Formats: sequence, C-alpha cells, structure tokens
Amino acid sequence: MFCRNGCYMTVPNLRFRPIPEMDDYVVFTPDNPNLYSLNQAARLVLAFCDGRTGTALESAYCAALDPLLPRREARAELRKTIEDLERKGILRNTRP
Amino acid sequence: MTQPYFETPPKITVSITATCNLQCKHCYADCTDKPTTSELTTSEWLAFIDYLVENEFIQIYFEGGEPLHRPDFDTILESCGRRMMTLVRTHATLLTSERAKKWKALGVGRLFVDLMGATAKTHDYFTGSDGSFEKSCNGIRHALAAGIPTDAVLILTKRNVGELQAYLELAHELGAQRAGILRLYPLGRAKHHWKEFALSLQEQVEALAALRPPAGLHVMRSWHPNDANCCWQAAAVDPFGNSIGCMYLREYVNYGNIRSVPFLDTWRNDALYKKLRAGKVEKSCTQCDHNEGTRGGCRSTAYAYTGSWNAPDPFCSELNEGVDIRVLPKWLLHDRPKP
Ligand code: SF4
Ligand code: SF4
Repeated sequence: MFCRNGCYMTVPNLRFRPIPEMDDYVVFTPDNPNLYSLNQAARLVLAFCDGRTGTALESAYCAALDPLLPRREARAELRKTIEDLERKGILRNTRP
Repeated sequence: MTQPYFETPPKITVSITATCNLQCKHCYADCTDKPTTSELTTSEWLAFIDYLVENEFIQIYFEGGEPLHRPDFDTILESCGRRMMTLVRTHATLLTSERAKKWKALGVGRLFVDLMGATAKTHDYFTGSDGSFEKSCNGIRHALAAGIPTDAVLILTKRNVGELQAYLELAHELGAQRAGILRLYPLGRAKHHWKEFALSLQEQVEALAALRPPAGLHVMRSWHPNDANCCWQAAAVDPFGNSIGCMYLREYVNYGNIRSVPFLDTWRNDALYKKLRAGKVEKSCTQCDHNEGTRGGCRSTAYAYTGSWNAPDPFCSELNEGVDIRVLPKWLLHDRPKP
C-alpha cells in the first residue's frame, strides 16, 4: 500500500541484470528466489527509491514524466508500480 | 522476428557431474556410479560461479547426472543460491526432508524432478532400481514442504505414453505447480534403446493433444510450436568443463574448455557456436518464426537426423518432411557421432 510518509528503498541483496539487447532489465530477488522483468515505470521508480518519502517520490516521478504523462496518471502509475514492487519483494517501505 | 545477439548470456546450464546413483536406460549422460578424474573439482566450479556472477549471469540451472550424487553439491549451491536464480534438475531420491530445508535456506529457487511414469512399475523399469519411484515422489513432497517450487518432468516414450493423463494427475496430487512433458532425444543410453522407446511423431502429437490437465496444473511441452530454436541464448558447460551451448548438443559440439579458455571467449569466438546462435536455417515455419521467434526447431535433433546444422527439425510436424523419427541414422550410434 502506497504511503506518502513512507520511506522507500530497494530490498538489500537484489541483483540486477540489464539486457539491452532485448530492451529488458531483470532483477533477482534472493530472499524469495525469483526473476522479474522490470518495465520502464518500475525502472524509473527504482531509480528514485533512495530512501526518500512517498511525497518526494511522487514529485520526482511526476516531474520526470512531465509533460509526457498528466500528473494524475503519473501518480496512479507510481502507486500501482510501488505496490507491485513491494509485492514482489523488490521494494520496501522502511517506515510503514 | 530476429533474436538478439547477447554480449553476455543471462543464463547458463551446468551439468555438474556425469555420475548418478541410478542407472537409467534412457540416461542422456550415460552416467556411471563413480566419477572420472576429469570432472571439474569443487574449487574449479566455485571459481566458475564467481566468474559467472562477475559477468552478470543471473540464472544458473544445474543438472547432471544427478547433482545430489556429488558430495560437494551443497557447497556449490551455497556459492550461488543467493547470487543467481538457482534451479536444479534431480531425480530427488537422495533429497531428504532435512536436505530440502537446507536447500531452501541456501536459496534454491526451483526444482525439476524426473519422474518417468505415473506408476512405480513404469518408473522403476526406466531407472532399473526398485523403490526409486517412491523415493522420487517423497523427494518432491519434501521439496514442496520446504517451500521450494517443484515441477515433475517426464520424457515421453512408448513405455509411458499410456499413462500420461495419470501422470498429470499424480503431479497435481503431489502438489507440483507444473508438469513438463519432454521429447526423447537420441543421446547417451537413450539412443541405444531407441527402438524400444521412440514413438512416431504422430503418436506423440496425438498423446499430447489428448491431455486434460487438472485445474491449476500447468503443462509444459517441448514440441511445436514451443520446440523453439532456442540456440540463440543457449549457454552450457558439461562436467568436464567443456562449453557446449546446450546439454542436448553434448555429443556433437565442443566450443572450448573453461579450464583453459574463459567461458565468454568460447561464446564470442567459436565459429560453430556463433553460427548456431545466428539461427540461419534452410527452412522454418513462418508462423512460428513470427510468433515464437523460432527458426527451424531444435538444432540438436535437426543435426542428429540429417547431419546438417541448417536442416529443419523432424520433431516438428510442419517441418518433418517424411522423416520417420523412430529410425536413427547409423552414424549416430557411434561413440563420437559424426555424419
Ligand atoms: S536419474 Fe538421470 S542422471 Fe541418473 S541415470 Fe537416470 S537419467 Fe541419468
Ligand atoms: S539444441 Fe535445441 S534445445 Fe538446445 S538450445 Fe539449441 S534449439 Fe534449444
């Protein structure tokens, strides 16, 4: 669940594998072993997840997509992506 | 559709040993009980795993022989389980409940357990070992109880085709998420039992079409259109350190030995390796080429039946061109097969 006051960071010990030949970016989650393919939205979200708050994340994400994506849509995409990444064990909120 | 040319492949298969506690009639690796001295040592495998991690490999798939028959296998798993997605193919007769829990802790991500039939009679006939069916089923139970996702895999032959539906039900009952039905390859001991085991292509197609998987069980098949020419991304090393692209090519190719050449040099420099990855074939089914990115089907069986790397795969009903796959070319039965 997305939280504005949350503090978002990637889970430790993940391994990332860019596969530029297939325009793909794969992540390995050792705690619950699996490989996931990250789409553009997930890659952008992860690039911002350095411990900043949900609010700061939202601003950064919307700014990065402006004017390509209206703010409302960007916010919805961000929330969906964060929830998906949390479910897969790639991202965590360290201040839930 | 063109497949990409990888600078470094993301995944690799490692045949960790050519030894096994069973002596299956169909064994592709022609396994023996005792290892030959030329198998890679523990430290050589550990160094190779470090090399894979340094070079951004993200998945490793172990098979054998029987990986559990190597006394150092847990040490090897420990070095990669948390650094790469780690998959293991095993017959699981040696997988106790404690060992399965340990594997879970080491980071093993998925198991593929060979079960050659739905009954002890059929399975034990293949393995030549009474009680092996029960032990393999228990191995699956232990793995699942430890929380390791586990699939059952079967190689389709004349001797088990009659119990395929029962097989799917068994896999489902055991708790497997997926069952894999694989085609028989003319390799190792299997080719010497070819007459006894090989079905015609028509018989295989009909058997697969008749399957009614129980709800919730996913069935994987290695035939058209999923008999992809997947050589473009294939990386594999045999127990002796030879880079061979794919375990199904084990008798036909050698791109160099990782004891003397870095693996990626074999990937980048060997002419035959590059040719197979390029996927240039004489003939391919346009629909599959488009949908699946596959050109001409599996290169191993194309070569086995025709002696040509560019020929179509006779296991594909679109491309079979009248080849009776129950009849093997004679040269294939030599120790070092060459047409
Ligand atoms: S269990 Fe597998 S490795 Fe062992 S002899 Fe049978 S086919 Fe070969
Ligand atoms: S030999 Fe066959 S199974 Fe192996 S990588 Fe090539 S096409 Fe795929």
